Amino acid sequence: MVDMETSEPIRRGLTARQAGLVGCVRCGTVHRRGTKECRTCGARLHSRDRMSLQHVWAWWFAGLFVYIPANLLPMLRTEILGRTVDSTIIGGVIEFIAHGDYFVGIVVLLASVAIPVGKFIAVAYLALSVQFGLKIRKHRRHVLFEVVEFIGRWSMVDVFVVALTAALVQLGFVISIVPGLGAVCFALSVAFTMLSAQSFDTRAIWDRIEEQDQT
Amino acid sequence: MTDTPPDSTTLVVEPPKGSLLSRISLVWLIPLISLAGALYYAYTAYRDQDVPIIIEFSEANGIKAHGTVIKYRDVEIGSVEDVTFSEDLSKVLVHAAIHPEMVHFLDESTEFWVVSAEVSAQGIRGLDTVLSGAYIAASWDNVPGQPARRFTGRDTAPVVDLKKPGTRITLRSQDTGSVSVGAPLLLRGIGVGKVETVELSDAGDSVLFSAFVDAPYDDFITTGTRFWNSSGINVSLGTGGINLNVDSLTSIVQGGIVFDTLFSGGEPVGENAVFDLYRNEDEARNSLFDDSLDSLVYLSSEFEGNLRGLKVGADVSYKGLKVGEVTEMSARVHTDENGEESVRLVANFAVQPNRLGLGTDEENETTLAFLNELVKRGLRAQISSQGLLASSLFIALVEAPEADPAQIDLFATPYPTFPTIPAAPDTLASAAEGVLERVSNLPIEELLDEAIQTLASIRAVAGDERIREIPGSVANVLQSVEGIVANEKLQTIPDDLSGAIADLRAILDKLEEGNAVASLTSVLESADVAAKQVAAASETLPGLVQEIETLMQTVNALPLGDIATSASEILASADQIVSSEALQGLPDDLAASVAEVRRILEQLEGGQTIAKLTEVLDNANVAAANVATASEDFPALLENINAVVAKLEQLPMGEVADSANAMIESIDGFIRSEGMQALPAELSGTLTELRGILAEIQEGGAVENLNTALADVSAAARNISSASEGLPQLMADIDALVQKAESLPLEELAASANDVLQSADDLIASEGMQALPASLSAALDQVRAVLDELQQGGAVENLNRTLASAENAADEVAKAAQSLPELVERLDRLASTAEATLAAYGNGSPINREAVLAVRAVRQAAEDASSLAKTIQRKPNALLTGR
Repeated sequence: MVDMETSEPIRRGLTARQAGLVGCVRCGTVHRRGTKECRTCGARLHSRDRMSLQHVWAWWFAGLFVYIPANLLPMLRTEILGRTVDSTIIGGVIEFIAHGDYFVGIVVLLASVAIPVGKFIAVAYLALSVQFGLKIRKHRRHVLFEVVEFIGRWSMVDVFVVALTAALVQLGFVISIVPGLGAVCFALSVAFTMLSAQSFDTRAIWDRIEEQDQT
Repeated sequence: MTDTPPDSTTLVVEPPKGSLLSRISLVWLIPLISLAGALYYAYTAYRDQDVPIIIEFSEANGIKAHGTVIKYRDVEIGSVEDVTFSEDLSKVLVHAAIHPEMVHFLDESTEFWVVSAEVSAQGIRGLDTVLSGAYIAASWDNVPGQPARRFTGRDTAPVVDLKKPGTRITLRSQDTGSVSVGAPLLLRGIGVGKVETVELSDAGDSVLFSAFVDAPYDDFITTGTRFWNSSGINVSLGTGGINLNVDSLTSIVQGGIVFDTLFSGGEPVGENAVFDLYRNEDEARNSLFDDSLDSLVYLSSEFEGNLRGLKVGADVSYKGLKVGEVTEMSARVHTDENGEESVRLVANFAVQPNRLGLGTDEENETTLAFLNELVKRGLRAQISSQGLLASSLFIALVEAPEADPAQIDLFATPYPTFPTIPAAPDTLASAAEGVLERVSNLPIEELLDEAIQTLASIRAVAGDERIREIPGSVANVLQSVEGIVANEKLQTIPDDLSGAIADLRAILDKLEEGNAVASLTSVLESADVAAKQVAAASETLPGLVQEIETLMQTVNALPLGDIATSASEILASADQIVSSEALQGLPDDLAASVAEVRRILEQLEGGQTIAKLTEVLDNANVAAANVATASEDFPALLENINAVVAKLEQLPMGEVADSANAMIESIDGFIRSEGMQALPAELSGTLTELRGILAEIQEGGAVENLNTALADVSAAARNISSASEGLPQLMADIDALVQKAESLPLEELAASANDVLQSADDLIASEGMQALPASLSAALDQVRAVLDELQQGGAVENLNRTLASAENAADEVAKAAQSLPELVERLDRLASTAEATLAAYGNGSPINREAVLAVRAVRQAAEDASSLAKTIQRKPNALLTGR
């Protein structure tokens, strides 16, 4: 904050909106403000997406709703010689750690629990910060968003693993692995949170900066 | 939402769109849908929440928390959540969750048991559990009842499905008889049920089997049904050899129960009916009545002597009917009145009151009172034997009224004491022994010698032809006799005789009516006087005797040869007469003669005969009186007679007697000779002549003649009477005559007579008699010849040989008899061996032990296999990695 207060005005720059311009989100072509459609790709042009936050929150809740059963329901259903073993995510992690595989356990814990939860928190924080104009440094907010977007897709590793093992380990009676309902929920959760993050109009961050600047 | 443009002064502000709806993104539908889905899932999860139950097991064999499932009819209905211990660690508590749709069946009838791989005699089961692991099976009746959440699991699977229709029965037995859980119930070889449980009764004195008979076969079970053990191998030793029955392998290992409705008229039974389980089919078939182990009355008896052969299970019979059996045998020290101790053998036995005609449910006291009443009337226990050579014994309840009074000692321990009598000595063995002893003591050889001789004689006599003819002759004689007897006229003889006697009686009556008796009396008086005179005269008898003696001497000199000759002639003629054919007609003639006599007598009756007779008698009386007077001279006469007698005395009467004797013998011979045959005929002829004479007499007025004759007699008597007056003169003449006679050559006469008699003797004895002995001799010769022939012809030899072989046979018999004890011993040994062999099949015997060990080994093997299966089930990878 101190840095921001003492930073040079040049570094603030000029937003497109301030410059009376609007850029196409898809192809990046710059139009004059007021243009409805992109000349290049034909997409609709918005200087600011007024529905963005609504989308964020909608996907965010959807993701949250499916994230709960994703953790409660079994992720994997393993049938070994006729015996069926249901494994939830947390159960699997505990099992790994109990067996001494701390590394794998921690990786799974990070990938399957920490990151999605962190994503929820991060998206919610961003959305709230944009909505209520919390005073956070713009750059950090942006970095946070970048990180969320980058790591968010890795959350699908779990789902991929489940899909792969389920596809590979099909040895009939001896052993077979079937993805449980938890995996579906988990995949949905990841997808919803990604959509949530993607729905976030990063340009709103700059607007906050402008407001801060003006105040 | 409050996206207000930051710089409204410089920027065109796009006003928000009009309606609220347009300001809300459709994306919100996504979280709503997901929320709805999550809520729905939560709801279903709540709705399908498994119901927790707790099952107690004594051990958690193969049960794992979160893995072991609970199945009903092989469909999963729940799973085990946790396995813990009860507080006292005595039980394993299996916490399980049952699917909610099944929960309402969980009532008190529900049963749980662990299903794991099982290798048993009935097959291999649950092999899938080797890989999938054990699971808990549940079973219940399909009727929801009082809900329950805590159950006690079974250690073993129920043999019979709970829902299976059928009837559950209880069988009672003294021991299991190798019947174990799961053993089949067989009806004519078809398995229709199974033994569910085997357990001891509360009192511990019998074994109770719970068995289940499937519908519809349970309809075949009635009160007349009998169950018996058919387990394993059945060996029976009988007259037909050794009988070996081997049942199915299942029966050998697990035992089996066969039932059949042996008695018609039984009533259907309900659930949990109780039956007795018999040891074998025979026993079951012998159970004529509905036996009940409850009402058995136990008794105890002390026996003297050897009880070898009496076994536990031997019969107790009353009047030939089995009423109980021996249950135990022991010994007891018995102290008699003198204080001497001796060991008595004690047999305990059980009596079934219904066999005695009492009710099945009678109290023991009632039965004992009844038995005591019988004992007071003489019922006693006695050891009896049965079977060949008395190898096995049983207890017979026999009526012995002569036994000392006794009664049941009701307060004896352990059982009331039943009085006994000693065993009957006439067992078959001892009897046989006695017989053999007697046979060996028989003088068989002497007897055979005697028999040989006797048979020889019999053979000789019987071989004679004449002997063979005897029956014919006898028949002929009998025919002749019959002919004579059957003659009608002979039959009329009694009538005629009767008539004659009647006539005679009439005559006598007449005589009585007349003075005949009086006359006779006077005659007798006269006779008496005469006799007195004679007595007086007898004084002169010695002289007379002397004179007679001399007379006899003279007579002795007389030519008696002529007399003998004439006597001989007379005899010959008599012989002729006698031997004539006319004797056949004798009865006729006799009858006719009698008739004639009768007629004559009638005529006599009709005539004046009686009167004349009276007159005659009067005259006789007079004559007698004269005689009496004349008898005065009698002494002199007697003296002469005496002389004659004296002379006679000197005669060689001995020889005469001998000759007469010989002659009589000859006559005897003659009479036996052929001439006798003709005698009846001659007699008949004579009688015919006599008849003719009589007829002539009748015709010729004989009666009148008789009358006249009697008149003449009368006259004569009168003359005598008159003449008797001159009797002394007569006496004197007689005296002279006697004197003359005395001078007669009587000696010669006697000698001649002697000669005559001797010659007669010779004559008679020689020709006829000689021939007879000769013929007899010849006959005997023939007999002898026949005997010789027999002897030469080998018949006797044959007989001898026969008898010799008989003798040999007897010897053999004797030898055999000597070896019989040995044989008996051998039989005894054989029986002992058989007994031992059979006993070897009994409980506790080595073979049985071997069999038990073998079965145990089989079971052990099965258990090993079972444990292997369990091991594999617990660690499937052990198949790959080894243990």
